[in-house]
Amino acid sequence: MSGKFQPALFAGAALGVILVLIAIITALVPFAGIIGCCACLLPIGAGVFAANQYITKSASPVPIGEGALLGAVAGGVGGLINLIIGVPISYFINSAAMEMQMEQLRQQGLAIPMAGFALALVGGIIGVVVDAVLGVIGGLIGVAAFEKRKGGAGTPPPPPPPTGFGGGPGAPGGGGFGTPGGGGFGGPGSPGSPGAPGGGYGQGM
Amino acid sequence: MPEDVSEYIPQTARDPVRARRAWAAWGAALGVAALLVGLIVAAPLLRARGAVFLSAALYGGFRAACHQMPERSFHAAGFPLAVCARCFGLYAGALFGLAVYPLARSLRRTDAPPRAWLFLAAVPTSVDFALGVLGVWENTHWSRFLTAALLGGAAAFYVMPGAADLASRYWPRRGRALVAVRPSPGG
Repeated sequence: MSGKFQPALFAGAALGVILVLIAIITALVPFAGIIGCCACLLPIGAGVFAANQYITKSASPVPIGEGALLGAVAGGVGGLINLIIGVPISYFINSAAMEMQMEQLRQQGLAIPMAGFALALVGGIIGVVVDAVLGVIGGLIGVAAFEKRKGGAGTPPPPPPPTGFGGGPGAPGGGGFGTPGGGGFGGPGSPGSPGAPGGGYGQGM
Repeated sequence: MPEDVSEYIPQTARDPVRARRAWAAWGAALGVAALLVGLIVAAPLLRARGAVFLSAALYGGFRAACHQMPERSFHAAGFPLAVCARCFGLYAGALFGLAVYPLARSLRRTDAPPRAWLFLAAVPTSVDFALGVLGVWENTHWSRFLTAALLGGAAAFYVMPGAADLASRYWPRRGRALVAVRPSPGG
């Protein structure tokens, strides 16, 4: 397993356990629904935590894209754990009440193509996507807020390697833009043209 | 033969490709935020129109992200939204923040504001929540919504630089940005 994803998997597992606990408690104790207050902050927090842990351990600056990826993994893993464990448990605790509610709706003439566990599963799958999106937001916020080293978040990406626009690696007499013996525009040339003579823009000496 | 110096394209000039990517990132972020807000509002509207399955699936999808207590939620067409007033404030605030972002900040900036602002934006909703839990202050739908919207709006200013940076790094590069020049013979 890549160490890169360790913080995200840890955050995702923690998120999943908390979501499962909330699902079980709110299913068992109806008036305990308030504990799910601001539960949308949980996947965001998991993303922030994963990004923060990765930044702490990383020797080099973390680009913000990595934060988005880590957040998606954290939110997705948490949502998946909830889908696999929390959704079935809360369904089986509440199945009788849910079936009764659906039956009442059917008696009112409303068409319900799918009900019961399948409906709970579809809701859970949408929940995984929502958790992953919120995790991405958390990962982006985490890197933006905690990565302060040069080369990480906020640093413009490196320009693409020059193709034929620049000289070789310091061949004598290489042309330059008014600089004798320089390598020309674009630096020391791309790896794809190692043997190219020191060309450049304009005339050398 | 070397090209004339007038053919040189300065590297520091405004990069239209980068600008296009930043706008695309903004559009994508705004689209995701609008989709989430739309789904939250669609759940009760679908329920009112008799599309029970879709509505129940949406309520189920947001269940893990919110307690969904009807007495703490805004209602539409007689049914509660898919999330509570505070959570809806976060989503709606983020949507608003993203919508006005280009007016406040360049889309091409990939540096985030100081993180202190984010923590500061979280203070009103935290105070509103804490005072409500402690029984000091009876918060309302609108106090929950507005204080959370402030946090959501502030969060947009941290998400958008990230989205712009993502786009600038990983968006497939098309078109030519540099002009190839044949090396002059003999250097």
